[in-house]
Amino acid sequence: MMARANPVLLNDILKLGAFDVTACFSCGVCTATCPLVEEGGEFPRRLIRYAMLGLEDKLLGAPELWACYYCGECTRSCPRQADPGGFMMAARRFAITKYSIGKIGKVFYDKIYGSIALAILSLIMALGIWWLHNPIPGGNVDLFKFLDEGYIHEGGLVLGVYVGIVALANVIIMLRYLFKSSNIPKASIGDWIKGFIDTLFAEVLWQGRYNKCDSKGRFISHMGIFWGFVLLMIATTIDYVTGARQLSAMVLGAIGGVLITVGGGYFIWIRLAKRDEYSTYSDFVDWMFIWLVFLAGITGFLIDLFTYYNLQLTTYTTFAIHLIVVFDLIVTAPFTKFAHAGYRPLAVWIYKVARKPQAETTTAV
Amino acid sequence: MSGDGKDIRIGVYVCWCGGNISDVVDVEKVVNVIKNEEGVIVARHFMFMCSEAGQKMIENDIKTHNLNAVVVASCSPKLHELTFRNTVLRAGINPYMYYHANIREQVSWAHSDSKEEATKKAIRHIRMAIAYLRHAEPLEKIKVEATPAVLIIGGGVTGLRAAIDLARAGVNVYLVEKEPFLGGHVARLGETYPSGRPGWELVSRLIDELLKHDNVAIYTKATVERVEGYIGNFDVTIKVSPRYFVKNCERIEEAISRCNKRVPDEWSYGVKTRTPILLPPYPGAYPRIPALDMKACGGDKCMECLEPCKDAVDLAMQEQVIKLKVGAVITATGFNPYEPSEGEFGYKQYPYVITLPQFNSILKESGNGKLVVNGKEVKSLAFIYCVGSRQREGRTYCSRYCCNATIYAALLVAKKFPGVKQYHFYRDIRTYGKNELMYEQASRSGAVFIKYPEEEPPKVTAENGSLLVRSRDLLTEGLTIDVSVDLVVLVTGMVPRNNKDLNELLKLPLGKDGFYQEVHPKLRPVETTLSGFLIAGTAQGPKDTLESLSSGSAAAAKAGGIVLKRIIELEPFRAFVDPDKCELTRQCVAECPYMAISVKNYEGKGEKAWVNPAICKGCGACVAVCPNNAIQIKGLTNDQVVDMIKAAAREV
Repeated sequence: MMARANPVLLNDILKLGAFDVTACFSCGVCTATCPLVEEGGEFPRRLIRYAMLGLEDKLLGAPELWACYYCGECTRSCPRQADPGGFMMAARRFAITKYSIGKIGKVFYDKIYGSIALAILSLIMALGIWWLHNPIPGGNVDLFKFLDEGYIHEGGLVLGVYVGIVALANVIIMLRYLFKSSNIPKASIGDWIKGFIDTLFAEVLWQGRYNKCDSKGRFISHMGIFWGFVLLMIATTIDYVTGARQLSAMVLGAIGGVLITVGGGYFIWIRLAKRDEYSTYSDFVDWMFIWLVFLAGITGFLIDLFTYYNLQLTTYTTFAIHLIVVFDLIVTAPFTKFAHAGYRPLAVWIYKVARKPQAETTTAV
Repeated sequence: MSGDGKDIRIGVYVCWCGGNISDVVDVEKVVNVIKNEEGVIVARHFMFMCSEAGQKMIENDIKTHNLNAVVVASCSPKLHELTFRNTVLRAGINPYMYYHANIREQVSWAHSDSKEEATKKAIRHIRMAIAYLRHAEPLEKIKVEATPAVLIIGGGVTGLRAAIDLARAGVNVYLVEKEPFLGGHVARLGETYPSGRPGWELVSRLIDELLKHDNVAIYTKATVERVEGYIGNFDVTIKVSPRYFVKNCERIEEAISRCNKRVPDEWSYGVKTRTPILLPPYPGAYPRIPALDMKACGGDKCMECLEPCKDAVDLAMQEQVIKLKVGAVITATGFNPYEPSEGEFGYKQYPYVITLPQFNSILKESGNGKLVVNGKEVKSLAFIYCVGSRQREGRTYCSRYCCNATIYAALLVAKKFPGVKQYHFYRDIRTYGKNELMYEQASRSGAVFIKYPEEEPPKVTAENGSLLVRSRDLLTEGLTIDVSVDLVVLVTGMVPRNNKDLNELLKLPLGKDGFYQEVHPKLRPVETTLSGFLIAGTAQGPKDTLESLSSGSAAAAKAGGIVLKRIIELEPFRAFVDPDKCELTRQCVAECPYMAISVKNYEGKGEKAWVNPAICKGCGACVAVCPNNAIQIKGLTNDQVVDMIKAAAREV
């Protein structure tokens, strides 16, 4: 029953961030100043204690991990410069590696293994395109003459099913941690439905909690990337269902493309400029994620641009790069920063439904 | 003066104390009432009696009106009694023909809400003073000669410090140590906070300094057997047990290797064992020659193992009794580390539960690399704080040094064995002063601090070859956590040394926690209620090294102050026996808490009780028990007390 946890838990988390929680003397200023904390679900102080004590299951079973959006207020107000926000971020990175099936996530949270994995995936996709593509057709640029539409659609479908299955498996692992720590609240179905609707509208579609952070730039950019992906998904679906290039799909796709490009670009900029607490420390996986998002958007535009000027080889090359980037982004999604798209709404939903003090339990170190 | 009040000529002076008194007490009315009291020749009031003008006024009155007693009604006698005793002395009156009535603290300040009643109370106070003086007689201070020598009991850092300070001041010092070597607990320590210097090094420096003085006699393996006499004049008997070794022996290692009897080694708090041959335990230890623990030898007197050192040993050596004469005694007998009872946090139940002194002994001997305890490598350890200290009942006090010592040990562990995971189960961390920085360093070094609730201390059990510490953590919302560790270190505090014999001998007052008690914790921190007996170091209560040495120096200053004056003046308020009334019931002898009363042959009157004025404190316990009113306190006789009560009760 009692899980024997990793006594070097803190060291493992430390590898994933540049915070200094050994400076923490448990005062709780971080929790007091956090604009997102709700009564009964306090953080970061409590989660820092879990990490210091090595209570891995407690830490991984805390929905509070995802209730944090790294506003940076705690880090700014910490009297000991322990960087609680940085800790929360690192703890989420740690959680993603732990929640991922077969611990595959670990690969992408290591600079060297992550780069190799990304290179291999890109190479496989490149070889696939090389193998499947048709000889460069003459006349006007036509992407689907270069690569049959069927490959893209079916490939996309396979990829979608794969991501769905893996994501589900990961979410189940996450839920097991939450169960183990008795953090799945006992609530009526009505409460769950209410919480779901609240989470969907207020948090997913409007990103209400993110908006409580000081930084409007981050809120807007994140919102842009989120809606960009939503619009691109709608466009792709329209495209797929109708089987033809619809104007509506093109418009939606274009807007979505702009949103993810600009949003991704903004995040790249603030991380390069190390503008605030949030953007000071960047892990390999952070760069990988935002660069892939940005590249996916920008290559999309370049395709249209080159098509317009009818630059044959350039267009097809860019198209191939676009496909590789999108493939990399989607295939790694359940194991990288992208995975928060699944964990966060779920955890926030649970956090909202629970929000009452937990029963005292015994946990082993 | 006959003491019957007939010839008394009293001057009464009521002080305004600015407005402190006169704002509440109607001083005019007081003077008018008092003026008419029997024996009062002059009565006046004045702005500040203690001012030069006020004192001059009193002196002038004494001369012009031929006064022979004076009352000043003003502040507390603690403030100005001595001032006015000197004033009257200057004008030729015995200073004990003076009475200081306190109408500020006890009247105007206490009753500022009722001026009329306060005025009446002031009058009663002054009437009491007059009643006192009507029976008063001139007294002289008691003078005793002091022997310029001091006995220091305990040769730890505190005793050494006091000995050096006194020797430097030219006082003869007798330093008596029970153990075979000087140094006490500090000499057993490895690195100590805050300097990082080993404890034994500090001790050997003190010893080197002490040995430079030739007015010091050091007795080891020695105990105090008798102390008689009084301040300035104590007759002390000490007993020195045989050391058996008379010089060093070149083949001592061989002798030790031949010894197969082994007993727990006190020097490492039982972590190691030793033979009956005790070598000087640290560089610079004193005496520089070995000692033989005959008790550990058993029946054969270690003849076999001492063979290589035959020439250095004198087995015929006898116990020595030495008589000393000293003027003061400093008791610096130190502390004992608290010994947890069997099963307390698994102590003695599991071999890997040890105390902090034991852990420090192990740490002292450990090199870098691996921390090995009892042959097992320790990769994680738990400290449990406040073991035997700050208890609900019994040892309620904080032992003061242990937080600092533990945190310093934690830093040493972090430095020498960085891989060792440390858990600190504490109640409160009291790393006061500069030591707070060590706490900071320790927490930054990765030591985990877990705050357990007072009512629910951690539990230690064995589990799969290691130890399991279960505790609640108040810093994690009271969550109960289990920590698996290789070693548990119980942070044991200080307890009073088991000095039963010495306590019976000296009768030094003990506090409720069993440590020697000072007269006043702030104002008279090294004196006891027994004149000439001083206390210092951890015998008085938990202290760290710095604080112990400070109090050692303080006690030395006090002892020097007593003996270097050569003539000691004592207040005359002492009990005295009227041999005509005494029927030698001996009730006073039994009652006296200071053993000041003995039986003496009075010329022509036979054996009667006699009070040694140098020992007597004037407490009056004997007066109360004497069935014949044969015993009285000078300066506070029965007649005085009775008349003062009557005066206080008289209507105003």
